[in-house]
Amino acid sequence: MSTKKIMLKSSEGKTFEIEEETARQCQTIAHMIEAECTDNVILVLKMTSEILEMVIEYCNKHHVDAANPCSDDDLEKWDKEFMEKDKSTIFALTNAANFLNNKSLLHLAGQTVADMIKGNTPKQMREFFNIENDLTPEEEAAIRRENKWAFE
Amino acid sequence: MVDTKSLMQASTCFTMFNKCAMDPLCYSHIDLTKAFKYVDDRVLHTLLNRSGKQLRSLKLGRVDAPGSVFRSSCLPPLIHYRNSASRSLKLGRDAPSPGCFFTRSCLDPLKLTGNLLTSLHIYFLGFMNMDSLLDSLSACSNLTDLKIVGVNVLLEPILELLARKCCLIEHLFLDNCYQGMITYPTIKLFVTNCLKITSLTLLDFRLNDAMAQILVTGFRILKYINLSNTAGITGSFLRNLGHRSNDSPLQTLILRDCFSLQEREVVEFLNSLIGETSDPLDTLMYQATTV
Repeated sequence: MSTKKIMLKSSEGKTFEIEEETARQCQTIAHMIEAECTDNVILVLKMTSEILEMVIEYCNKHHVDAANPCSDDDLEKWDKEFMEKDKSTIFALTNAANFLNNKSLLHLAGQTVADMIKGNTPKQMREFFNIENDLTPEEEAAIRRENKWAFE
Repeated sequence: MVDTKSLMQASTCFTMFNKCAMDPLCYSHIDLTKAFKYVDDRVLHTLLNRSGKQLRSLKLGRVDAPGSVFRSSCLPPLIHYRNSASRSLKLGRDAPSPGCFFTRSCLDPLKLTGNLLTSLHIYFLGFMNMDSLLDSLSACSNLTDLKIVGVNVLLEPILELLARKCCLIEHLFLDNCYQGMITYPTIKLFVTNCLKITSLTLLDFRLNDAMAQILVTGFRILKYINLSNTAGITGSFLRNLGHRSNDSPLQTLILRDCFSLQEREVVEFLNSLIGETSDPLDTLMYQATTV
């Protein structure tokens, strides 16, 4: 008996096949499956084919069982290599993990971003995230004064 | 999760980060090893207060203090200095004081915030007040991971306290740079009460073979043990270990720079392992050097 499959459709209309049990790592997909009444499930997801393909790759790797054995150390090593991507892709993966409610991928992506800003100055962080400083000079000075030890 | 210094830097990026940085969850894992130069008791106290009831791990001090002798199973042979004075003398400069901004009772706030702490690492804080340290550790009944490196305190009272108050300890790393003694009753109490120990590192302790045997064979789920720089063991404790390796979950045994270690004992131990039908001991590392 073949395992049950579902189809995931990207925002560009491309479909990907994945085992239902594997896809259930994403809580959002699990809920969508339960909400469906038909057996032939096609879920439309708001993400590009590129990102969706990565998410599926991650889920397939992390669906560890007797048929797909993988030690914790090997999985950790694989995760590290998996996250060797450019910044915008990592951000997109983080958003995807958040939307799909895949906790392990969200933690992995979030920690990857955190590691990228460790030791950076506020200016470097703003450039990294492409954000503008909306704190007034007085507010910023107050924060720096309160945490002077971290700005020496 | 970023280290705590980076968190403070992030808090000045813009309003949203600043608000996020005030969440107690941001202080559940306080890592001040990147900010060793300027933190003091007041800073630590402030951060611990911000953590509220969320504190889970705390790292203090300088991991790579200059002039320190870093010990690791993967590094080249160690140079053994018999005491701090000669260490300073041979290095040709003053002994480092990387933690000089902390007072000897800097961990006192843990008496109030340490209840749910599971991991505590302190590096090269120099001298600490013994009673203060013990009182602080007493409050950390959920501690599972303790690492003390380069702190001039007697470690036997700490072992005794762990046995009495912190029985959940799983990973213990103690560097006995103060050269304190350890006694049989303490070792036996420690082995009897701390049943969850899986990883044990006791560097520079004055253990003999009988004590080593109690430690190696006493913990039922011990996987890793490192007794490097233990001058008193000849290796005779390996005899019994060799004949019961099938029953032991031990995977790694490290005995670096144990100057009294007899090669004959090690050879016989290895032979007994080879004779077994299975070999659960994945790693055995020993190195005896002549001073």
